Order: sequence, then structure tokens, then C-alpha cells
Amino acid sequence: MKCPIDETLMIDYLEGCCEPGAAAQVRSHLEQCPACRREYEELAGVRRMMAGPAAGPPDEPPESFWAENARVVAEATYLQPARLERRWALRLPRAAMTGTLAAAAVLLLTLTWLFESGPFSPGPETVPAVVSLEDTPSVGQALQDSLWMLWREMQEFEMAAKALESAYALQLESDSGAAGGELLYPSDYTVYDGLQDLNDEQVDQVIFLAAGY
Amino acid sequence: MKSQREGRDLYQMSDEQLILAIERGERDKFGLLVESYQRRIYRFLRNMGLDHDEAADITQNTFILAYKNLGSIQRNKCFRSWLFTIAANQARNYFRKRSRQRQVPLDDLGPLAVDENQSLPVERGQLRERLEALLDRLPLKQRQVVVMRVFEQLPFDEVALACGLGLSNAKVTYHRAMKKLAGWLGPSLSEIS
Repeated sequence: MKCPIDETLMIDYLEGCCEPGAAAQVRSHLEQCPACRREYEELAGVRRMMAGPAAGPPDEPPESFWAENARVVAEATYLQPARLERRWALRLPRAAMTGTLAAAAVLLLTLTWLFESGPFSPGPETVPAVVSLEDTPSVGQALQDSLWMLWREMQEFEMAAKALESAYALQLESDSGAAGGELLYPSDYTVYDGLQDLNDEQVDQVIFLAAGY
Repeated sequence: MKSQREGRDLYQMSDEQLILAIERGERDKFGLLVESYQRRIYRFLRNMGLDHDEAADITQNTFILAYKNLGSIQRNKCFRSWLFTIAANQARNYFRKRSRQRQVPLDDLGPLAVDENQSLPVERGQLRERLEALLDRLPLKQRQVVVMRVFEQLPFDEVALACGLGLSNAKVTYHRAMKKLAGWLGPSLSEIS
């Protein structure tokens, strides 16, 4: 017979996040089921060990470090002269946003062709080790898959807004050069998996068009 | 007296209130967010296996990126978990570039010495070192979840948000990581705990 305690319930109980009724149910089951009790005791042992004082936090830097860190961040951010904020994407009216995204998606579909067989087509030696999608044979296919998913998701305004926000965040990151064009947010991997597998040049092209620059 | 009261009021502002103030043009309020979270972000990064210099650099980058992208945070998004998302992504990128990982084979660490008169190991540093070696062996996502939950004590919904996982998935990931740790610790677990 299958035990009624799945992984999430076990973790809820271990972490003290169970509803009282569920906790009583788990407690009662643990009394009767040696396998689950053994597993719980193992997990609880690790938890105690990690939370105990002997495993304490890593050594803290000296107090002066925090002031210096705050100063460096301040000089790189809010102490910089104010510049034109590029938040236009979030302030577009809904219709304009949807229209822009629809146009961007058409352009992006065109890009698929470019990546697949046009001038941006990656040669075999330049193709990065792609792809998270198991049955995706190439970068172009991964891009196409993502674009179709994006197109479908665009029916939902929230998703469209997220897509543009994400493109915006990616552009900022790319500008800063700090993260090499990684998607920061949102983390909707189902939509963006293919896009994440593009190389830097391809990412630039996608962002350029998607963000309407 | 007045300035002391104002100072206290500033510290009592929520993250959301501070972000609104920054958007209204009080940009220096971002310093309060830095002050609130820099220690936690740094500690998170150290627990992710970065050394002091690496963690310090990424802590700075995390806040700089957060400031630049502050306009993109959704109203219902928790700033703290968003900040951890940025830090975690930065760490992940760093590991990729560094072609992770400085794995220390468990055998090289030697047996875990236990003081005969105490139930805890003699040296705190020794347990810490062993723990770091074990965490280093976890897949990155599992390590993120464990560090955020155990060391940063974030609630699971924030852990899930910061790691880009669903709530159940975050718990399952945590469960698998803890099972692995238990397996690796084996018999010494009873000595430690």
C-alpha cells in the first residue's frame, strides 16, 4: 500500500508548516510506518545539524566592509546624475502594448528564418550546446518553438507584459555587461527556454526587435 | 531629537514604501534597502560556495542591477525574494563562467572528529568545512533552495519565487536535497546531531 505522506507533506511536517490536522495525520502515520519514520529521522537529523550553532554562518567581514559596499553601490546607482528612465514599456496603454508585441512577434518569426537559413544561420562549429528541449534539433528550432509559445501566450495580456518586461530587463542587463544577457525576471522557463539558449549576438537581435528599439 | 525620530521612521518603512519613494524621486532611499539586505545577500552568496571577494562583487552587482530594474518589479512581487532571484542568477552565471566547481571529494575530508566529552564535533570550522563540501556536491538549484530555506530562513513561497519554481516543486527539490545530504552524511549524522 502506498504511504499517504508524499514529499511535500513530509517537508511541511519537517519544517513545521503543516496545518494542525495534517500534522496529526503525519504523526500518527510515522508511528505506524517504520520506513517513513526512518526517512523523517534522517531528514530531521540533517536539519538539526544545519541549523545548529556548530554549522553556523560563514565568517562575516569586518564592519567597515558594509559601509564600503554601500558606498560603492550608492556611487553606481542613486548618486549618479538622474537620467531619462526607460520605463516607457510599462506605461504604454494596453492596446499599444498588445499591438507592439504583435508586431514584434511577427518580426521575431522572421528572425526564425534568418537564424535557420539566412545570414545569421549558425554554422556547426558556432552553434552553442543547445537545447533544453529534448526534441529540439537546432537553435533555429528552439527559437521557433519559443516564438510560437510566445505568440500563444500573448493572447493573455499579463504574459505579454511580462515578455516585454523580460526583454527590457534583459536589455538592461546586457547594457550593464554584468550578466551576459541572462534573463533575470520573470523566470517563466517554459516560454523562454529557447530564447535563453541563443548566443549573445542572437539575443541582441531578439531584444532589439522585441523591445521595439 | 527630531532627526532621531525621522531616522526611526525611515527604518520602519516597508520595502514597498521605500520603492514607491524611490520612484517618486527620493532615490537615496535605495541606500536603506542596501543597508537592510546587503548582509543577507552576502551571506547567501557565501553559502552558495563563493569566496569573500566573489561574494562581495556579486553583492554589489545584485544591488546595482536591482536599482536599474526597480521599475520592472511588479506591485505584488516581494522585493526580498526578487533580490534573492537576482543574486541567485548572478551566482549561477558566475559558476557557469568559472565552470563550476571546486568539488572536494568526501574522502579527502577525513573522518569527522567528535569530542569524547561532547555530542558536537570539536571544531566548528571542521563541521562548517564538511557542510560546505556537501553543499558543493548538490545541483545548483537544490543548493539554492536549501541555503535559502535553512540559512536564510525564507518561507517556502519566497524560496519558490526566488528560485523560479512552483511551491510544490520547491518543496520536492528541498526534500531531494535533504535526502542526498542525509545519504552522504550516513552514520556520522547521528554523531553530529
